[in-house]
Amino acid sequence: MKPVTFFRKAHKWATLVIGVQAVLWTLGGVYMTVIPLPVIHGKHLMSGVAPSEIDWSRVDIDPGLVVMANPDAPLIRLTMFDGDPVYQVLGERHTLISAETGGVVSPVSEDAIRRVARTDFSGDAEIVSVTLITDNVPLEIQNARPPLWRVDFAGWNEPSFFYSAETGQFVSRRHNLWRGFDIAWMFHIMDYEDRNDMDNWLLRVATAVGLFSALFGMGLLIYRLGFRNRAKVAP
Amino acid sequence: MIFVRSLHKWLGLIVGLQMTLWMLSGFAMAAMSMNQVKGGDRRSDAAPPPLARQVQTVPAMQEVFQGSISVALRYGPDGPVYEIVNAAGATLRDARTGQAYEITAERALAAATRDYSGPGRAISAEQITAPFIELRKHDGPVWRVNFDDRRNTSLYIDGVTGLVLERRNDIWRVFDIFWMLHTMDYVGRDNFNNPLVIVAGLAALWLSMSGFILLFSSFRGRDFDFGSALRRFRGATITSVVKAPGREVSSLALAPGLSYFDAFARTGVNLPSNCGGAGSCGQCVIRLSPSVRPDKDEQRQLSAAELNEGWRMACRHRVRANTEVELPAGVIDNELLSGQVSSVRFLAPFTKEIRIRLDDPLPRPFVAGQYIQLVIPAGTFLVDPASVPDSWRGKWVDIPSTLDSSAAEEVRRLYSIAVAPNENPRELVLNVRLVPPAGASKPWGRGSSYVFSLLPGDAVTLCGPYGRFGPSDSARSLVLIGGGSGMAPLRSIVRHEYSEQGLKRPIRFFYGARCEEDILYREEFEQLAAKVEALDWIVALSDDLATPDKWSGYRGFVHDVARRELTESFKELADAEFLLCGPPALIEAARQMLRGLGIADDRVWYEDFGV
Repeated sequence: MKPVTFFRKAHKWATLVIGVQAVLWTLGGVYMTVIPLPVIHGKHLMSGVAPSEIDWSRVDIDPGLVVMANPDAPLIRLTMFDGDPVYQVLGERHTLISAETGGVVSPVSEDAIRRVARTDFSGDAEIVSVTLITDNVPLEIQNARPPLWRVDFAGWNEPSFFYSAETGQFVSRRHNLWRGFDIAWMFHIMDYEDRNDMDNWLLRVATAVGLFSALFGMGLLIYRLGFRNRAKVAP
Repeated sequence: MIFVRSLHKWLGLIVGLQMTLWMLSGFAMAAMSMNQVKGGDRRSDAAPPPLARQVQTVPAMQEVFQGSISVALRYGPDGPVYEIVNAAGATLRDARTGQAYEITAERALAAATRDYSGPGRAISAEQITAPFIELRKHDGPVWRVNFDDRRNTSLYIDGVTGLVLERRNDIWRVFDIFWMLHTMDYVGRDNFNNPLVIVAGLAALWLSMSGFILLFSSFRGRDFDFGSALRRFRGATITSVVKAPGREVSSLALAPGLSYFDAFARTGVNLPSNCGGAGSCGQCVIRLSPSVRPDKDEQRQLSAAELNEGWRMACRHRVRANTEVELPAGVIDNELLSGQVSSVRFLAPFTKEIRIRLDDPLPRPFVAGQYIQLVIPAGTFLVDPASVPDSWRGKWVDIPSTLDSSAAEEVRRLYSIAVAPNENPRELVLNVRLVPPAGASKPWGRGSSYVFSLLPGDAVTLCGPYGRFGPSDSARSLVLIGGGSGMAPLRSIVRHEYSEQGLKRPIRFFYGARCEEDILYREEFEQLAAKVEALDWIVALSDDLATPDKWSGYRGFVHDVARRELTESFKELADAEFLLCGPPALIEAARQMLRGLGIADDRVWYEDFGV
C-alpha cells in the first residue's frame, strides 16, 4: 500500500471512530475560548460592595474563648454576617457563633441569606427562589459542603448564588453561560458522569485515536498538495 | 461535496498542525495523573497542631484589629497566628505575643515541610516576587522552597500569610508546556480567550465539521462488505485480463469486493494517486471493457476526451468479473525476480521438474495456467547425463556423453507454472523437456539445455507471471487436452480447481504421450481421479511399438481419442470451455477437431509456445 493510500484509509477509519467527538471537542473549544473567562466565572454578577468592617464595639467574646469551646477546630474567623459580628468555626463541623453573645447562630436563616444575597448580587433582578440543599448536592456545585442555601435570581442566564447554611459564607455562583461552559468542558474531558475527572481512560483512548487521526490527516495532506504525475491518456 | 472536500483540505493546511498539537497535548494531559501534576500525592494530610487558648484578647489587639474585615485565628508555620484582613490586604500577628509575624526563611521551610509527604527533604528557600510563570495567579512576595526529590518539587509559600500557594514539580512543568500548546497563550499560558486561539479554534471547528460531513461520502458500501472481506481472507480472486503498453496481455488475480485502485495496489501495482483513492485527484486512470458509466467524480476530474475514450478512475469502480482492464504506460513493469533452484528431478526420460524458491514472494500472485519468462544467461552450459535415472539410461544412449550449449546473448524462454497459485507464494514449479537439435549440425535447445544444466542451489532470474491461458469463471465444465510438457499449465489448472479456492467444476483431462514412461505425474493424476469424482483422467499413448500389450488404456493420438469421447457426450459440452496445451501439431489438430464438433472458438483457449 502506498503511503498516500495508507494515510487516507487510516485517516478515514480513525475519524469514523473519533469524528463525532472531534466535532464536540472543537465546538466546545470555540465556546470556551470565545466567552471571556471572567464572564464564565460570573464576576459581573457581583455587586462589588466592599465587605463591612468588623464592629468591634459589639465584639464581646474573645477568640481564645471560642478556641476553648471548640478545641479541635484548626481555624476560627471573626467577620461580619448580615450586620452582626460572628465567629466562623471551621473544624470537623462548621458553625457560626455570635461574637456578641457566644450563642450559636447556625444554621443561618433564609431571611438572612436573602438579605446577604441581595447585597452581593449586582443589579436588581428579583430573587426567584431560595432553597435549602441538605443532600443530593447538584452536579454544578458538587464539591461544595452541604447544607447549602441556593438563591436563584431572575434573568435570561438564571444566576444562582450558593451560601453555606452552616456559616453563611458565600460558596459559589452559577449562571447559564457557566453551565454551557461546564457542558463544553464535559465534552472536552469526556467525563460524562462527574465532569471533572481528567484521568479517565475514555479520554486517554479517544485523544490517542484523535492524535493518530490528525497525524494521518497531515500525512494525507502532504500528498494531496502534490502535483499530477500520471501519464496523459487522451488528447 | 467537492467544495466540502476542498474546504477540508485547505483548512487542514491552515490549522492541521495546530489540530495535531491540540490532539497531542490533549492526549499528553489526559495521560498524566492530575493528582501528580498538582502534587496532591505528596501532600501531607496530617492535621495541624491544636490552636492554643492563650492568645491575645481583642482589647489587647484593638489597635491592630481596627478597620479589619476579618480576623482569623489559625496555626501558622510555627505557632498560632492572627491573620488580619483589611482593605489593604492581609497581615499576620503572633497570636500569643501580638507581635508582627514575619515569614522568614525558617518559617517558609517549616510550612513547606509540614505540607509535604514525599521522599525528599526541603533543601533551600528563596524569596522571590510573584507573578512569574510557575506562580502566575499570585501577586507579592513568596518563598520558593525546593525539595530534593526526583520530581524537583517546589512549594510556594506566601511571603505574608505563610500559606502554601502552589505545589509544583517536573510533572507539572511538562504538563504546563502541553497546557500552553493547548491554550496557545505562549506568554502567560492561561489566557485561552486570546485572539489566536479563537481564530484557530473557529478554523478547527470548520475543519472537524467538514471532515464529519465527508465521512458520509468517504465511506461506501464496499467498506462494510464483510462477505467480500471474508472471501478475500479465504484467498478468493477475480481473474481479470490486464493490458498495458510494453507488456503482453495477461491475466491478473484481483481481490474481490475492492475498487480497482485498491485491488491493484494489493498486487503491487500502484496507480498514481495524490488522494489515496478518495476520488479527488483524478490520477488513477484505467480503461475498462466492457465500459462503465462515469460517476460525478470522474466527470469532474477527467477530460471529456478521456471519458470518451473510456478512461475511468480506478478508485471509483469495483472489481468485476469478465472485465478487461487497460492500464496507462508506466504503471505496471516487468521487474526481474530472483530465486534459487531448490530441487530438480526427472519426470520422464527427457523431462525434468524444476522447483524454484523465490527470494521474495511474487508481487502479483499468478493465475492458474500462467507462465513465467526465464532468463537464459549468455555463456556455456554443460548437461551431464550422469544424473539420468538408471531405468531411463537406455533412452540416452544416442545422446553425446556431454552436451554443451553456448551463446553470446542472453535470451528468455517461457515456461508454464505447474502448481496452483495458493500452494506456496514463494515456490514455482516448471516442467521442462530437453529439446533435441532440429538437424545434425544444429545445437540442442538453448533454454532446455540451460534448465537441464541447473542444479539445486543455482541462482535463476525470471519475470512474470504472464499469460491469459485459463478458464473463465463462467464455464460450467472444463475439457483439457494436453501432451508432453504441455502438462504444466493444465496441472496448475486442475490442482487449483480442486483446491480450497477453486470452483470444483467437472474436468475431462485428455493427456497424450508417446509411451507410458512419458506420462508426467501419472501416479498423482490417477490418485486424484480416484478421489475426485468430477475429474476424468484419460491418457492416450501414440507410440504403438513402445506400448506393451498389457496397456489397457487408449491408443492413438489424443485429439482422436478426445473426438470419440466428446462426440459421445456432446450434450454435456454446452457450457464447457476447452484448454489446449502441448506441441504445436497437437494444438492444431485439437482445434480442428473442436471446430469439427461445432465448438465456437471463443470457448477454446490454447497455449502453444514450443513446449
